[in-house]
Amino acid sequence: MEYKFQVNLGGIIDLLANHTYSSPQIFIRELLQNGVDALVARRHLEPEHRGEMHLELPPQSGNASPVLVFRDNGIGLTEDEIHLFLATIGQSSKRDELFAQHRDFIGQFGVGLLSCFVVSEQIVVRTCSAKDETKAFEWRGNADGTYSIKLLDQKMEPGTEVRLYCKGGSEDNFRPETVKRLAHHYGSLLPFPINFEDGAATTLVNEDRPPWQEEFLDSDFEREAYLEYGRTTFGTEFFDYVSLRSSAGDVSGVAFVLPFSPSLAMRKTHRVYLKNMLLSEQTEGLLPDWAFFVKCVVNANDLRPTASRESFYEDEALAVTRRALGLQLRHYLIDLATSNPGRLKQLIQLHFLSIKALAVDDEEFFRIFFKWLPFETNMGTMTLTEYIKDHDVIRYVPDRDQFRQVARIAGAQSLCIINAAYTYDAELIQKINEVFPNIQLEMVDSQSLTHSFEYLTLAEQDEVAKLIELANEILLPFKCMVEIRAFSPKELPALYNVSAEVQFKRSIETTKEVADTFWSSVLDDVEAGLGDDALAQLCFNYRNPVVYKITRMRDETLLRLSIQILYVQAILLSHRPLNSKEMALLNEGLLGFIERGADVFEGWIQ
Amino acid sequence: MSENELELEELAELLGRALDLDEGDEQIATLEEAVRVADIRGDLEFQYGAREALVRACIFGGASEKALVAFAWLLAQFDKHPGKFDQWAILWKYKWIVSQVCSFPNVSKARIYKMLDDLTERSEAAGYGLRAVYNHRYRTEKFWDNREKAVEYFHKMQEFPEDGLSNCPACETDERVSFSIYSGHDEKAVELAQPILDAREKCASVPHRTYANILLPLLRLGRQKEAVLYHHLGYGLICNNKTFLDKVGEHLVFLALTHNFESAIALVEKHYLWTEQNRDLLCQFRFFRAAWLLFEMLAEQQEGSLELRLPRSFPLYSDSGRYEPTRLAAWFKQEATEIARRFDERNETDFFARTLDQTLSLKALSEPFPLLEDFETAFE
Repeated sequence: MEYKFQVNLGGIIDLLANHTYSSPQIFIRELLQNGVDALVARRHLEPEHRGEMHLELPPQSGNASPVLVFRDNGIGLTEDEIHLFLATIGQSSKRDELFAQHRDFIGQFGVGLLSCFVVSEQIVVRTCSAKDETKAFEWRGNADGTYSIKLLDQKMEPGTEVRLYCKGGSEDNFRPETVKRLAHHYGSLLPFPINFEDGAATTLVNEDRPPWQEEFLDSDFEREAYLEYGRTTFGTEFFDYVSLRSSAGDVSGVAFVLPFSPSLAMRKTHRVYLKNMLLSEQTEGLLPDWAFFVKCVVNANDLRPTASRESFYEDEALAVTRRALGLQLRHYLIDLATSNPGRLKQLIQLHFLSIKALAVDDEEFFRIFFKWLPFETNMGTMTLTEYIKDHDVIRYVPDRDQFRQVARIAGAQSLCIINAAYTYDAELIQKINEVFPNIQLEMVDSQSLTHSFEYLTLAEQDEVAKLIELANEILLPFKCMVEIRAFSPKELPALYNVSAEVQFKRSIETTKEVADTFWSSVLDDVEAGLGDDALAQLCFNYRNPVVYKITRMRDETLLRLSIQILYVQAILLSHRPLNSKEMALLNEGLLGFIERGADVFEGWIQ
Repeated sequence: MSENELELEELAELLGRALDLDEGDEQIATLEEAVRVADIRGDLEFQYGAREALVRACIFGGASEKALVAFAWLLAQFDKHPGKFDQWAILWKYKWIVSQVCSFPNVSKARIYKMLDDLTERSEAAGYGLRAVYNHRYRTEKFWDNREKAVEYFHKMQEFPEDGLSNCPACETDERVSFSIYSGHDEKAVELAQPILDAREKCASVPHRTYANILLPLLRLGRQKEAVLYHHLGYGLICNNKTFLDKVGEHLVFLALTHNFESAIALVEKHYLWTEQNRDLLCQFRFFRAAWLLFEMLAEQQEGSLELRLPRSFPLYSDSGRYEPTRLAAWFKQEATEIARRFDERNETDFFARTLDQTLSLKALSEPFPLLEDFETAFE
């Protein structure tokens, strides 16, 4: 009898191929899934039944397109059930409906078959139900939407055989190596044997069991088995492994500790099996955010997959599982801290970012781990314990640009300053008082650092008063105030320091030079709204011979020129681009000096 | 190596490192440094590229004031060098900017409208429809609760087909959810949110925002259990990025109304500092308002002081770590009130003042409902 699908099958196939699945190769997974479902159903009926699956590429004559045969000795379908799965497909005009309805075995069978049309021109299903072994049926479906069903003359063992006739352009998916590789890829953990037959040879595809399904005589064997599994699965010699188990989600598997620091793109993706069928190699959300130092292989029996069955649905079960797995990794780290601190140190060298991410939100963990956490300082990387050994006060700068300014001068003052601009660092440092209540913390910036410089004596202050007054007058339009101190190195005439607020204002200034009037006024509004009146700071160094001379300069014109040039030079030394006003000041200063020089030179000639 | 090559190498290193960082302060600081090095070098393409990355980092990392400045520079250079820089990229960033600019009360309404007109003109000139523009016109009117216009623009937006400038499907759904909430249709909002809640639609800020937005509607519908779940799922997504300060406020309201006071206080302790770091006043307003509600409820619930770990920079900081809830409530209320005043003055409406006035009436929804127990204990 000829039937026609009630829907535009081509449209659904396109939907599956291009929108739902990330690859057409999913058809192998769907075949295997149909097989497993049928085998599980049959085992409910006959607990002693020995299920198996079989994949075969029978030799074809001449140029005939390849055919893939998939067989299982599962429960099979009755005639009613065939109509039922067809109805499921037929009623599904949208992807959402399709997936909402395929929760049961029969519906799933239909959707699984549909995905095979992505690579097939024609599909022939022969099936005999274990519930009625007297009848076998053949369903023959075409990619154009037509199909026929007939009662077969000959008898058949219970089970299902699916024949896929390759669609033009899909030949690559029917190559023996590809089929075998994909069967292993998706089905290596499946609890039923998958045999692959190519010509004369038949091989068992899923022979090896993952280590968490095995029992070991001693822990050395176990360790070697896990690491070997990591080697063969990922081609990586992992640093270590943590076996994972969670009753939530019914999860078991392993987390491999990466032997390198992962890049952002590599983080948080894991190989995940759902009921022993590969779900995805890129699953996110399985572990807490901080735990990006491992790569996992796990099987979950009780988590809900998303529509495409390539990742998990964000629900309570997943959230609880995530917490449970996170706790196991945390236990691993704490165990390592007591059992093998040397090894932990190596791990921290690679994965301190992960450890810091956990420590920042987990007080108990912080107490155990803070002593190993590395921080960058102007005197090299060190742990807080190392820092505390030599310093009573922990000085840190939580801003990258501020640290750059501070670092160039702190060393000369023998100050050790932590660059806490990295994610988590400032927060971690602020927690130190919870462990050492008496340690003093000091947040430093480039301007506050000058407070640690030596003040001038009263007599010296008198000497420099005129310089400071004039400099403040000149630099007021530049929103800069002037100080003078004595500090090392003496080669440095002046320091230009800006706070984060002032740096922001500088960026507004620079932008206004290119922006039109409208945007300039918008920027003015924004600046006014922030309502701070922070100034930049120019700190002269009294120890510098040039500065010392200038303080004694009588000629006001020359003094003005000197201040202008020293100001601009200090900005340049702080590695900042000059804005056009500063550039003008530099030009004015230089030309002024040349003019003065020329005058003097002329005087000599006369 | 010449100075020139050194600078180039430094730039490449900075940009590469920034791309490998999560969104947040470190990424912003790294890109600011890249901008500085590019400016010293004076190479227009590097200056432009570094600022493009900076704008994105600031928008997704909670520093909209910096995004605005860098964007103004980009737009000026884009106009100065016709054809040199990517048109779609600047228009897409323009959308981010107009979605943030209302949060700066010193920027007048006239200027905001002018920006929207400019974006309209540029979008049309580039051959795009006005779906994106009307989306932002709608949001702008919603900001100052010009309800009639807001509704009009929301529907107007639907008249234009999706195109290269309109939002991704997840954001579009999220917008429909917000609109339903705004229109008082809580049940419809939750229904509309389903594709997001089912994880069928997601992007960089969805479901993060959606989870937070439907908490209150769910409480109003008496669907506490779902709200609890979305609180757990949603808070985990936003708790490490200060750009979501406003959404932390929504979670705080939820925790207060369900009497999960311990968790609520932990939230204030963790995120108070963000109010000093994220200079977006709308975000601050939402957080302050939520904290006010919390401490107001705590003051009613219990006598005596509370123990709270707040940073030294907190104006009422106490060494003992003990605080009177009434004083805290008053302080947070005052902060929220001041921001509301600034917004209302610019907006020429009383929307923010009204929002504040209604805060304590939220207590009508107050009903103890525990967080997921097995969430905490299932793995112990």
